[in-house]
Amino acid sequence: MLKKYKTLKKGDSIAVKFKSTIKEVCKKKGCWMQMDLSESKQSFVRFKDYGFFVPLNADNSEAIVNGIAYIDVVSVEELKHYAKDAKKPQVEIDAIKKPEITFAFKATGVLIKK
Amino acid sequence: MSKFSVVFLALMMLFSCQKKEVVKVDNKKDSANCVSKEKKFEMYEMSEMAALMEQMYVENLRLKDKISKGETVGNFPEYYTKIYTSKFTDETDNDAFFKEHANLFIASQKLIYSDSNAENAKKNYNLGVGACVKCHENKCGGPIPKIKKLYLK
Repeated sequence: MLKKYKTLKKGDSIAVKFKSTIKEVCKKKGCWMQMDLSESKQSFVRFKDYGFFVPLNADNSEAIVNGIAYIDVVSVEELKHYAKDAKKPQVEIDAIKKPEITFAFKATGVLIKK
Repeated sequence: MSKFSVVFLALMMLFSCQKKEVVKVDNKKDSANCVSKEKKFEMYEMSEMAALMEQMYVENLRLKDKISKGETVGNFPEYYTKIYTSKFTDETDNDAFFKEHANLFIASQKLIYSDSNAENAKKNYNLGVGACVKCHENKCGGPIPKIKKLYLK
């Protein structure tokens, strides 16, 4: 999947399904998650129309996601918000100063192994 | 000979019963292992504020439909004012920024109902949707793509 992401530029998107391990989940609602892409890279997965959430403790579970992969630029405000969601320490939240280019994913469906 | 047969049969029955019992114990052991391997997932339960947001979203969908058809919009739904008292998912989000934007949101929603003539209905409605987006841009960006679908073009 990382190879596919590396072929994309901002504005491109591909419909795809991939399997990987969940590295991190939003601890407030389960409204986003990070999926491992190897080489210390991750895909930032959100769910179509905020229509469904994943379990708060799904970290390290295997999952299959179906949806749209694209490149996104996440603003400093959003990054701080996501860090707060993940219950990161305030020092770490305050250290966020630059927007980040992310391997984004809008999932229409998620299957998680128990 | 018949006595021997009775003893033999009794012994057979005894051993067969013991064997069955061993199998049963093994089954219990297996199912116990299966349960312990499975993760018990914890799902988010909607807070009062999250539930109110969902209700207001549906109300605005209805409003969009009415305005696009040129129908009357009715009265301002008083339950919207629960935005001042509903319990948050994360209480730290109930800050000065939120309170200020809650006031702006209520004012913009009231305007939709008080000034709903054909000329202004669409403009006021879109201002109301814009008030939601403005607040979410700072508070929680997740629902923004969904909220933006409320805009009347």
